[in-house]
Amino acid sequence: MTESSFSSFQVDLRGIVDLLSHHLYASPRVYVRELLQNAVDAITARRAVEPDAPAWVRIEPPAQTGDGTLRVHDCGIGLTEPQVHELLATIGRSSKRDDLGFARHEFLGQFGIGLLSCFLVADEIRVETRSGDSPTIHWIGYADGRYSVERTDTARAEPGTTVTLIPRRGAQRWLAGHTVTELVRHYGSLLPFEVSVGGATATDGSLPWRIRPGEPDTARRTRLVDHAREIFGFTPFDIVDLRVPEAGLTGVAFVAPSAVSPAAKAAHRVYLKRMLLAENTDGLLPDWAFFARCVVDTSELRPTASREALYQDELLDSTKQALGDQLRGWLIRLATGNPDRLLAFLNVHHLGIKTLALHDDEMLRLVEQWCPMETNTGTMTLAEFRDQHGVIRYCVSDDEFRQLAGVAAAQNLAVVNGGYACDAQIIERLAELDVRIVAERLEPSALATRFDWLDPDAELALHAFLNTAQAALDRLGCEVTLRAYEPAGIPALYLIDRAAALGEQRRRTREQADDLWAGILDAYDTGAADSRPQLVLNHRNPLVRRIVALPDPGLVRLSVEALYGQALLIGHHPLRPADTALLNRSFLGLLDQAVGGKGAHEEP
Amino acid sequence: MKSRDDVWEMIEESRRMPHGPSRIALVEEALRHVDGLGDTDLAFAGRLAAVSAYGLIRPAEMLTAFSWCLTEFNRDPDRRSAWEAGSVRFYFNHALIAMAGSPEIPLDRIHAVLDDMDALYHRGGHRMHCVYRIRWNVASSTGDLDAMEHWYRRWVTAECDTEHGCFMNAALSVAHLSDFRRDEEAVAIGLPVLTGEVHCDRHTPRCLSSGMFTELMLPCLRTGRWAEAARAHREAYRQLAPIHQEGRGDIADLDDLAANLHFCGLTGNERRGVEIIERHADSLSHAPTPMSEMEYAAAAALVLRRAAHLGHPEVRTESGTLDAATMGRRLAERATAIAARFDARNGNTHISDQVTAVLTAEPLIDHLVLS
Repeated sequence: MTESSFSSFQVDLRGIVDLLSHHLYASPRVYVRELLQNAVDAITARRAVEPDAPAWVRIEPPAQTGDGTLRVHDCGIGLTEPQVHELLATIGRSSKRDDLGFARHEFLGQFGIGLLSCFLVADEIRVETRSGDSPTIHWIGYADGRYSVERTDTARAEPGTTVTLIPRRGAQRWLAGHTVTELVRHYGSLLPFEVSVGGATATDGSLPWRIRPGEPDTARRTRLVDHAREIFGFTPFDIVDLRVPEAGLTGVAFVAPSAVSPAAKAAHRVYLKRMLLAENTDGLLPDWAFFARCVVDTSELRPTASREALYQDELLDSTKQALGDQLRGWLIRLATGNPDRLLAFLNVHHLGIKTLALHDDEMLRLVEQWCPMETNTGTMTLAEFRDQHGVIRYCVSDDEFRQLAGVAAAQNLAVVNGGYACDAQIIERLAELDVRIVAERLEPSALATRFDWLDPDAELALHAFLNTAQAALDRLGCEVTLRAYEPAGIPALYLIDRAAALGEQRRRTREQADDLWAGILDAYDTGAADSRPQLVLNHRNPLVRRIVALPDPGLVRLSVEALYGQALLIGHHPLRPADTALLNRSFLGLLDQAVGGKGAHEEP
Repeated sequence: MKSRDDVWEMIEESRRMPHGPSRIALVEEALRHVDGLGDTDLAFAGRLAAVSAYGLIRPAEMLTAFSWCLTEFNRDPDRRSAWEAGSVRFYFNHALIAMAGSPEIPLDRIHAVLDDMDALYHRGGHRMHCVYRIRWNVASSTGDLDAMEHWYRRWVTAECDTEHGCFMNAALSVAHLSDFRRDEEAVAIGLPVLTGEVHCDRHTPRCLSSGMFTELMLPCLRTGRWAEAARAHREAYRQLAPIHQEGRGDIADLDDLAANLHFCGLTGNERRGVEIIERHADSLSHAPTPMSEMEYAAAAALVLRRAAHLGHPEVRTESGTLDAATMGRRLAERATAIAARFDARNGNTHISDQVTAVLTAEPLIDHLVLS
């Protein structure tokens, strides 16, 4: 018989710290950031109630302390005894700060986890702290989870906190003076008050983009250009000031001077309350703004638990949008005030701007007015095209444009090449947005409707020819029509619509599928007659005229097959095995005719 | 005629593009050239890229391409790389979601495809988790409640091998529990994600949490967790709206949109509901499957009936304006008619019961303040 009793699990803090160091933080070096952050938060909290309180952080590396420890002194708000118990005794509990977003402005809730990260490099941490006129408290914590708290008789001279780290074996190098200086500069160079390491100041104290009293614009610009060169390695095309009050955000965007791949990760440098959060944050700007790289400081955006990236929430979304608006405003100002600069910019970044135009009406207008497009009547903007031709007729692919541009021009049909980037979508969106703008995709078969019909008598006379021709191309799934069109030099055109291409895919897939899948595909067959590709013979072409007059059906067949093959080749259409076989046969057959042979074109 | 290299480049390029019409256009262009080149590997890669481009936006075309891949894969499985084989297995999910969402596909065919998928996983020694989950999915579209519960138990206990599996599983678990009115259990899984206690630090562009928030709205509402329900709706719609503006709109997105409309109809947010209907006016004409069309029509009909009842005047549609009552009635008829087609296939009335429940729903709260 045993008595039941409750015990607590022994939680091995060392183990948890190791876990953290491998999973939450990228490297032990973050301990400096966390200590700095704690000091900064404490100073901020004190100044909130006591605006004239001093503000400094002094760090003494082992070279100064002489006992191998690192000491960090601040003149912040300090902790009272109950606060020490509450916060330091429940270190793990405050780890939720980032997830829940409460205590974001409070120094208290964050202190514990900040200290926790110090166990990455220390076996023992001592905290001496005084809040206002409360007694000075000593807290000592060990990596195995034990801690003690006591009041001391010797009060600190001033409110504030001193944290002392007794290094872990093997971690001494992280506490060395030059390493600490390096890390303090890295994370805290923009802090608005003095941080010294071993007596030497390590902070610049001012945001590079802040407008300094009496400084001329050009001097500020030069300073910022240098800044861009230093951190991003380029001389910016332009500099755009950024400000989003709701996110407590200020900063600058540097416009890249050369083309940037839209797929490249846009690495922005983000400071959180003047402490460096990350040098390679993406997702701060809308995707379209890939031509800009930012340096910003924010007080309201939330970091992730690791404090190494921004947490995606509603505020980040609205900030992203606000930053996008400011970049867009810059573009609009260029368009109205400095069109030459705008053209230079578009020359480099047109791809991004067009992507942007897909979501943004003002950008769409900008593209319409300024971006040159290829058309079959020369290069011009969409606005110019519309002035001259009314309807914006366009091809969706470059290949299609190459095939049809010439013929369309001969029918007085102006066509824009929509095959570049997202040009086709831009045209479609333009028409969606503005009822005055009419856009039409040039469906190849629609082009054929502009061709002239033969008069009924002539058509009737050619009935036999058309039957033979159709019979020749039936097995290739192609329809033969006879029209008269310019340019007369073209004997035949092969035209295929999207619906025809899809129908072809379905038919061929179905043929090789098993019964199960054939049945499934049939269920999706709408039953509407698939439009078939067309071979449109040109009655204005002298060669075609002679072919239609041929008395020998075998020769007609051979000629039509050859025209079909030639139309495929000229139009860069794909050749299926059946097409290649036909090309071979017709070529040999024609050769046979040419050398006066007999029977080669007659099928067995 | 394009060279093999040209076509490879087109296929690669398409994979780098965001989902949408341009990606589809490029893949279709590549497919036209693929077969003439007589290169099976290229043809396979092109079809696979097409399956990916069509996704759940264009199910009919996706199934054609998938069927081609599957036939070729079965003909010579050893010729395919591990990545290609994995893709074929994965896209069974797409194929089955598309089929189950189309009442014209008979049950026996759906089950035959499920069995093929099952056999493929078994033969290769892959984890069965995915198969169980899609069986659950199909059971829910075919109104087979016993099968739903059975496969739900199987997939939540099976080992999962996808990176974001955890989130996806959690979202679908919430969906299942919500369907069976096990609201407290659903809330227990979903709420920590909403409050951020559990989150995915990687946060893919559209983290699967959006689906989770969508599923969480109803359980929160039915258990009187008003603030949580409002937050779930805000988060879900926030992540959803931009996807629609970019014209992607696949099945899952339209379903989520429908759920958000349903929420508006249940919470006295008719005005917001009408706004959403107007903002996504073209959604219905681009519905990828009858199932998603039905769900959207039913939820929109609920909002419009309520809005008309409260005296809301006209609603902007794709082709002009219409008074709310008339539009609501038409959408209700449309949803009911589609539900009847599902019932005929399924041999039960589960789908039309669901639609009727949405159409006749009454608000759970007079007016839930969202901000």
